Amino acid sequence: MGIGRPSLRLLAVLLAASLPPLIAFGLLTIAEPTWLERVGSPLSLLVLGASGLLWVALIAVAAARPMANDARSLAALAERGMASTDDGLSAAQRRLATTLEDRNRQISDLADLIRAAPISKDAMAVAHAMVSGVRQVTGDPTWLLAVLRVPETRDLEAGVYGPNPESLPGTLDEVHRWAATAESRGPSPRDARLVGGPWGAFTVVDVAAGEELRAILLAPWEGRADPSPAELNLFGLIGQHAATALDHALLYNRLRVQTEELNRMAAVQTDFLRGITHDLQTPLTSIRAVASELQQSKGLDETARADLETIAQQADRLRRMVGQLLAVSRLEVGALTPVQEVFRVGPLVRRTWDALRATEHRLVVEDEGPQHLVVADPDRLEQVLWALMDNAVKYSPAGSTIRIHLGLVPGPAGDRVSEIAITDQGVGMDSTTRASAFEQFFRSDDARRLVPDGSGIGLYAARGLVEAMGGGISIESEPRVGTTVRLTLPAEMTDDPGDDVASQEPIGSWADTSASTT
Amino acid sequence: MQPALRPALLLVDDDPTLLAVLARRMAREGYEVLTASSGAQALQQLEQRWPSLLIFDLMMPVMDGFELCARVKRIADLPIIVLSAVDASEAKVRALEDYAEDYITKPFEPDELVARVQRVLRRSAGGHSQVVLDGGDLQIDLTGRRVTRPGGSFPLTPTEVRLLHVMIAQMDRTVATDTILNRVWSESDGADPSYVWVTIRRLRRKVEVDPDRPRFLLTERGVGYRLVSSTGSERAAAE
Repeated sequence: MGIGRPSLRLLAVLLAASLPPLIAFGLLTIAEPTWLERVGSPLSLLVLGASGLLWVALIAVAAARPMANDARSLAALAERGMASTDDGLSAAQRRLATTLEDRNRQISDLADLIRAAPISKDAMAVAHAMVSGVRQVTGDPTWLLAVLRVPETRDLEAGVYGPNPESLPGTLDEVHRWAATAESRGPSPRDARLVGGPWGAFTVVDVAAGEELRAILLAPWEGRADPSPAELNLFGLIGQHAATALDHALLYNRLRVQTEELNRMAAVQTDFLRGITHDLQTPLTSIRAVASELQQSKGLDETARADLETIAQQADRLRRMVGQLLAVSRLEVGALTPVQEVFRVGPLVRRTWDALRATEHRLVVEDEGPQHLVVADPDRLEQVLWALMDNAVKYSPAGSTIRIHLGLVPGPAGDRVSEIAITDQGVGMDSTTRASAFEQFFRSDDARRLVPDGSGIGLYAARGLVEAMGGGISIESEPRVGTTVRLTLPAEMTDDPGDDVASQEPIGSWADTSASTT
Repeated sequence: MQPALRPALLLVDDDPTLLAVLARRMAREGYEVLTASSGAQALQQLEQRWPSLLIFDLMMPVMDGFELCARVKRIADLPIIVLSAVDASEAKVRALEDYAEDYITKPFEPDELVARVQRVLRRSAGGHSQVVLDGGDLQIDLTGRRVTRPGGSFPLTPTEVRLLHVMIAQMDRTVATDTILNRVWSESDGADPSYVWVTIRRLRRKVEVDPDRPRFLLTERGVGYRLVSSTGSERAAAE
């Protein structure tokens, strides 16, 4: 293909050289047809023309030879040149491909390493994992991580880390000292450098994360080829990811420490509550026992009886408050397991009201009828009712009526549940107060004004207890009109046709049904 | 109560005031009362004589109620009532059920303690704490308040335990609904026969594999209920 062009050029030169004499001959013949007779015979003219042509051809050949040579050498050169470029290119491509492959593998190893970094473990474990990861990625088993400066945490110490806690080198202190001086020298963070140390050259990769953490990855570089820019680049990348992984671990641990601290404080609070409650329990039992014993003794005058009654009443009040505290501390630790007895609420409501001794208020109980029994813990429900009635009395004026409505309402699961609605004609609550009413120790401004010595755990305990019994509690209220607290609790129907299976069966029916099924 | 038959109670509490008050009250109820202010003292007392019942505080220094409980039960199977305080979380109290017949949380009314003492003594006189029916198909643990049958193990409420006590005492005999009502709900005001129906219905869900076809807790229509000790013999008799 290289020859084609010079040979064409040669032909063109030959044609160009032969054209002028032919054209001159043609023009002369047309302009003066007689010149042939004047010059000589056509034969002599033909000889003259042919010799002219031959001359031109000779000149042309003489001129074309170097050109052809040139063309030939040029073509050979071109051919040779093309071949050598191909060789060089493919070699370079192969090298590049290998490098890329290596690089890809290292990056994928690095990605694995980052994925596997156990962030949820302590930062120390992450440090060890980073070292083993870096060793794996670089294929160099001499890498170490020197942690120079750490934020205030309990689980990462300044020092040198190998792939596991047992594999640390013996000269830790020296390495660390050296690393510390390396740090004081190192200007650019996250930079991979070749640095000289007491034992020769080291590759150092800065691991700087945030402002507090400073560490370096280092490996001895003695007796090896200098790292290529690409390798140093990769080390830099590793350093960055090591920093990120360590930083995440540290942050995670800081959060964990904070959570633990919060939990510990909550536990201290609960313990405190339990401790106080426990301290109250035993003396209170004695007071009540003595008071009830004295009340039964004969020969007491009226004043003494009245005083004893006061002691008994106040002790009872105290007992109920201790009971609330007890319930709260049990709710806190999730240790409240109410029993599930079946009973009618009406008598319990009246008994609880009597225990409250609210002589200045009137109670009206509207009982829809005896078609169901509530499923609840009678002691716990009494506790709840007492707290709710106590609130109703405290926050409504003397002489007002407290209305308690007992009935069945549709439950959330399509069943029927027992509802106890306690309505007072008291101060009521605005929507903000109502929203916070069930929070522990919450007391509204009205509450502080009207009942300065309240504890703010009544509704909190009530909700916890009712929910533990599988029920629910809600409040409807309007300021200066009154409040209705609705309790719902599981119910068992007493008029259910399937209620008492055997009451519809003839005597001995069990044997009959059993015989028919077996 | 005849003096010779006075049951003896051993009261153990590290609070001397409460100990004195309770001792006085129990003595007035007709019991012979022994007291101890620590677990070690209680064990010493037990070397000399066995009371009918032990009542002790769960929270005592040096030897707490749990340890005392375990050590007492190694000596003799005496009924125990534990006075628990706030520190006895429910889980711990449940662990106590293996040993203690009953527990009562401070602060309590002395009347309540008297009632519990009477109940436990009555029960232990009956001698039933574990009942196995029909070759093990149904196990009733009255002390541990639990029934176990094929398909599960279920906790019993105090009321259900009382009802089962009544039924077990009259095993294989029909007990009238009114009798059950009077014995089980004697301390409740306003109880009526529906309490018995509903409680039996709930109890069957625990005791019976198929509550709609009871095998153990049968209804005698218009009369009352009957607990059957062996459903095999019942079947044979019916056939």
